[in-house]
Amino acid sequence: MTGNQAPPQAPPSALLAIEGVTKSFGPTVALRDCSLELAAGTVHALMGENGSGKSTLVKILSGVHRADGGLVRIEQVPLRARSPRAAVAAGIATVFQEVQCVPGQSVFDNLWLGTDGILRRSTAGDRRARAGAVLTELLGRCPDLSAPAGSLSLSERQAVAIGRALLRTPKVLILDEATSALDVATRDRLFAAVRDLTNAGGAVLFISHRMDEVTEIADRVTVLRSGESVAHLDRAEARIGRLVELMTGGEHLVQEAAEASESAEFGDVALPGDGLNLRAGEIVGLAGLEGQGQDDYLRALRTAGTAYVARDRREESIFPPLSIRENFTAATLRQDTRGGLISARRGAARLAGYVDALKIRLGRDTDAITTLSGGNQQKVVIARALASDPRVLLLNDPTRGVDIGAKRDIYALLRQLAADGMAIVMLSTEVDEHLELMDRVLVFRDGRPAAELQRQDLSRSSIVSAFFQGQSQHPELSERSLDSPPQPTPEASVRSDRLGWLRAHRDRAWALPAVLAIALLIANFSEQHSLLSWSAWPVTLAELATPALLAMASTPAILGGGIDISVAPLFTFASVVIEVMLLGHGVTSAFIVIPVAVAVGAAIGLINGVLVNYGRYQAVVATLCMNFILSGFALGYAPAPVSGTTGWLTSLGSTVGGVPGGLILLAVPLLAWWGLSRTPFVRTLLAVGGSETTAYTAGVNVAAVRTLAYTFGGAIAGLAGIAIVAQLHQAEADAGFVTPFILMAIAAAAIGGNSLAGGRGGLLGALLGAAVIFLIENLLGALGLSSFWSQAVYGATLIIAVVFAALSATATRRSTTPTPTRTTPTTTTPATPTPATPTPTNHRAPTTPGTEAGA
Amino acid sequence: MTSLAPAPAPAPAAGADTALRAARRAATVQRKFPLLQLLVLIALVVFVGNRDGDYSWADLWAPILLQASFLGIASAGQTLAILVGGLDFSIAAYIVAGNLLTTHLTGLEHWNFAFVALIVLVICLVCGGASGWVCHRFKLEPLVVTLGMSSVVVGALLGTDTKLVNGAGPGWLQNFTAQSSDTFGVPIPPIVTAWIVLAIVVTVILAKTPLGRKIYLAGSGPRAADLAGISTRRVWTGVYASSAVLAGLAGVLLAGFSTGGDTNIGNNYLFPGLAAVIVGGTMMGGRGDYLRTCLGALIITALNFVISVLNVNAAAAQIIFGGLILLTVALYGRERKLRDRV
Repeated sequence: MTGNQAPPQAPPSALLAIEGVTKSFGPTVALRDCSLELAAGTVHALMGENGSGKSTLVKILSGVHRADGGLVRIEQVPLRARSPRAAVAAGIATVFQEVQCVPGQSVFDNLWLGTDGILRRSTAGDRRARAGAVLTELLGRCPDLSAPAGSLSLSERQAVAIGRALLRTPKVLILDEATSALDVATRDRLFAAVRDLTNAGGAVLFISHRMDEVTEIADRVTVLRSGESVAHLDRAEARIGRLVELMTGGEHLVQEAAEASESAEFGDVALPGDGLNLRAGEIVGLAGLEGQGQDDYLRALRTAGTAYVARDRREESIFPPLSIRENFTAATLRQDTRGGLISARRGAARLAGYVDALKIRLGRDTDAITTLSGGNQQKVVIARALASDPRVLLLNDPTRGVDIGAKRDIYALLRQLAADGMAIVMLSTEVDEHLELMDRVLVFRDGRPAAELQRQDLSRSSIVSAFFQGQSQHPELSERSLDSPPQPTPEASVRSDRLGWLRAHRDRAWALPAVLAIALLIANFSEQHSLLSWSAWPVTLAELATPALLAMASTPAILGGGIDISVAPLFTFASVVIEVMLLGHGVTSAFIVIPVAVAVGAAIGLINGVLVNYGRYQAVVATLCMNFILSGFALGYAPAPVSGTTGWLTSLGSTVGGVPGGLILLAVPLLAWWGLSRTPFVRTLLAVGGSETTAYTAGVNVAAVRTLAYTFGGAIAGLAGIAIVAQLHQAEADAGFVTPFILMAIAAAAIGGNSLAGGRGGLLGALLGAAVIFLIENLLGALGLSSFWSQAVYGATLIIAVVFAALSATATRRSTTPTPTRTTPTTTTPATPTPATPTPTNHRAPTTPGTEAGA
Repeated sequence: MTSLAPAPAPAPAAGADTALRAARRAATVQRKFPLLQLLVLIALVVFVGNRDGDYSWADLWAPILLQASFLGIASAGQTLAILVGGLDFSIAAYIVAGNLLTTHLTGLEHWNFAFVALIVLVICLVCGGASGWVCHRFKLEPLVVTLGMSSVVVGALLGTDTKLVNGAGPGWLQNFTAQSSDTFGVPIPPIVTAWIVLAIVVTVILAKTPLGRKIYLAGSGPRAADLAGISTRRVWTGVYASSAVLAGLAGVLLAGFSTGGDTNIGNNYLFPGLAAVIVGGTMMGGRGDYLRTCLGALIITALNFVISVLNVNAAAAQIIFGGLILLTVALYGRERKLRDRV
């Protein structure tokens, strides 16, 4: 047991003082009066039930949200953190329960994410050495710093996130349920690191639901209940019983359990499961610490005749824009269908039955489901499951985020259903629920059921000790069982060998298109020997320049997780500016034309960036509008093609001092990008595209980085305007001319290895992708096939390229992620391939496990 | 001890409060019923009518309806794609396919129209369905896959027979799409009637059939839909196949208008079609319906008329388009703040 290291004489000063903080989200009050004093040199634990306000407090301290009222002071200076970046600058670093990691970037980059500015590198000493040191401290050994973080185990990735926080040398380190992803040995090393931090004068705010961890590491404990800080205890007073009492506001009386079926007659086996032998009329509970395998176990029970209620209501259960009735009937449409049409009346009638049975409080059933409280939403979801008349009901933590009244209703319902013969399996993270409802409880550890408790043996202590049994008592045993990573199955190791080459190539995303381009070049050469002749290069490169520049122009936005479909009208507009406003007025100096074209492009890119990142328009919508606007302006100034050129411009279309002009044009953005990659910008942009929330919470100014990407892309499009004028000696704004370029640019970017979801790729890949398309077209032309076939071929190439990329991504992920997969109860929205649905923020009433009425 | 009632929100300044409440109420109404779009449309039509002083059917309503019907039919598929949570950038290609095959095979080579229509149908079903299936199976961005497919369709079609660009629509089709024609004696151009019928059919399917409901479910909650037993893969395949077929239909109908196939004809309907859906208020993932798109198509067509009446050139029209969409989307279509997504 580690001892308390508080300094002997002077009372520790309050490093972080939280006074009367309040925070509401709409009508929901998350924090109503939270006060805390975090002393320097101490570890201060924060405990509370679901919905007590812990995560809200953490988000306020880490700069994600702003408090409505109250005061937070760090070293007596008021903290006004408007963003995670500001919070880190003030000395507060946070590690969240949901592992914040950019899987596609190296461990090293993940560790130092957010440290630098957008373009300026901050001084941080010998980064490699410090990175190695902090990981060795946490993991016992340092993994390959240049390996992609996604290849690490979950525990290692969380260690990286912790390392990231530690490397910022914070005054206050907040660990928000950060240990749930760690294995025991790493957790012990973390605690040692925590002790080092506090000995050096820092402080740690430690949030955990694990009593053993709290008793091991905490010097003081604060209990939150319903948004209020209700008690501050010293380590000596913080016994499990007292803490639970404070968190719940009194021992829960398991009133109805006494009357419940002790001599219950259970029916036949409704679901054999994996030795589960679930009988009709039984309610079986699945318990355990987070991620011990109960989640996968429950999901695996889903078969015909079962109905499943998922854990993450927002992501997995409800259809937010739809009405209550539509949500209810989702799984049973057939019951309402008469003659091919859905009968609204039947659906309403069926729902009404459940509204009574479940006591659902709603206005009209045509209202949106989001108008209901969390508890009532959950009831609708349960009703939907029941409507399909299942034999077995599977519930995954159904009362999470549900208020106490709805909870009671759900308990009553479940008891009634069981009495009527339904078999129920319910995963729950609340010990009280197991005590109240279950006929037997399976406690999970290490991925399988480790203990089975019958009703008569159920008590808080028996369940909770089954969570921890074997950990603190037998450290060697626990290390052996929990520390060693799960052995990869034989198939997995074979698969990982086969995919080793795939994984290697993935790191160089442009390798495949490069190979493709070379192959095509050879094919082209064999058909058309003149292609590689010296005299052909200038023309070839001049022709390649415009599409390649456009591909490069659309890439930065894509890398950051957005898209820009206005690059084509933008370059057209730039070319019109050149022809009409400059050349047309006799302004021919290269020192004016070139900067103006690039500046015009950059300015419009900036506008796009602002619309998307500060105006919060969806990227497709904003750039589509810009598409129209720019087309309009271009057409306005050049309704018919405008011709004209000048000396240097014509040279750019052939050779400038012996060097092909096209080569110069292509080299400029590549060199600029190379220059930018010497600054933190490129890898920060890739981090933003790879995991937006990780970058944000690590302190990156996400909006600014993305906007800069759009601006840079716009500048390249301006350059493309110069290229087209150099090649054709005219500017043309007709839609038929412009539109194909948009599609080609995106296709080239995708073929070039840029993930359209962001986070992977670069300009070189885009250039190679454009070269591939160009060479395909050239080859088919040389073969005598019409250029239309080349269109078909590059369309097919595009589809094959993205399918291939998707397959290799899933394959690598499967071979490197150890089982079991974790689902953690947070509010993080997981990334989806389709753009995010703009739904209103859905903050529901926190769970208020108050006392029983009258007790 | 613990109170369950939410704390009363601090009262803001009185003036700001009423304005905020009014705006919020308007937004709620707007979400259910496209009031704003209706007002804009009426304003535009009145403007055009006023300018010319002519509110007659032949000179005001019929032309608008006629042009809008093409755009409306072309953007029906995009509506479905957006409802299910994706985008369809291959609409232009299927329009071209329908158009070229009709003008060339029927018009020039005098093939049986029904047979040609069948060919168009099969091409659209297969290619569109394949796009949707691939998107869902490999979790790809529909933008990319539909882009690729559009290149494949147009390229393969024209590569097979470059003479496809020659031809003209069959005479009866030209009559069908002419403004002066009527439907069974009623003085509405047949194409407009066809659009109305399509609108009714699509709306009924979306609102009242399990098929349509599944589109909304798959779009608004893909994981929840899977868990509710809906085959989202089938939904995606079906939606993209339908989108392709509807675009092909638009292309076939356009053959009545055009003389000689135009490979660029689709481009005039891709982005404006997308704009029609957005302006109408259908949003990605389960919110909206086809009637809104029809309204959007009417607005965009009316806008075109305003522009021609004002003798504003096509260029300015584009600019106004862009601005209009930005404005309408600002009111109800923007993303959540990043801080709320953590």
